[in-house]
Amino acid sequence: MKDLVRIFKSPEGDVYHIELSEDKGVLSQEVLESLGNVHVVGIELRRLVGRNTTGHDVLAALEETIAEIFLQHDDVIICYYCDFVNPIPKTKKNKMPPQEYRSKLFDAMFQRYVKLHGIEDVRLSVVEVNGVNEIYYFHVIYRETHSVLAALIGSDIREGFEK
Amino acid sequence: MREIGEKKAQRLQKIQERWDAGDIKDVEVVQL
Repeated sequence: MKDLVRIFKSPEGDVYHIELSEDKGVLSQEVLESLGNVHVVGIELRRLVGRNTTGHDVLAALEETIAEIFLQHDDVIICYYCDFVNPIPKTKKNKMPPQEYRSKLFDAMFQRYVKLHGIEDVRLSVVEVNGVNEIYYFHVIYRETHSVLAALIGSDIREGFEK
Repeated sequence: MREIGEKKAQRLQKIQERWDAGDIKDVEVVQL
């Protein structure tokens, strides 16, 4: 499957890089074998320039990029691991861990997109993994036909990484 | 899980370094 890379520049001049590519790094061999022809695609997103609040136009462009690869391939499950390293600039919710903030934002983006486009057979599951000192968030976007595989992925991540 | 997140952060940092060095030339920058 071909990787998809896009770079967007907001009206304020901030630059965002998004890459979607096949990602087998977080799953056990057993689950990878269960996937059959289904590909797990990971999202890597980074702001390269700027610290302005991320506007609606940027969020919409990111949503479209993710939807593009998902809707063009029937055999794809998308996984997004919320970054906990880089802080969220210019937010009043700074007391919230950045990974939790990203998780809530990503969920809101997904819900808005499927509502706007009348998509009914696509789901998002949030996998919360309890670490030693923090909670990690992992999102799985899948078609209803892949709900068993999505559940497998979720339990595999919990079992593999929960401390 | 932390280790995977840190590896991801390292990959993202490399993208940042490539951008800062002007090495990302094969992707069009879409002005919104």
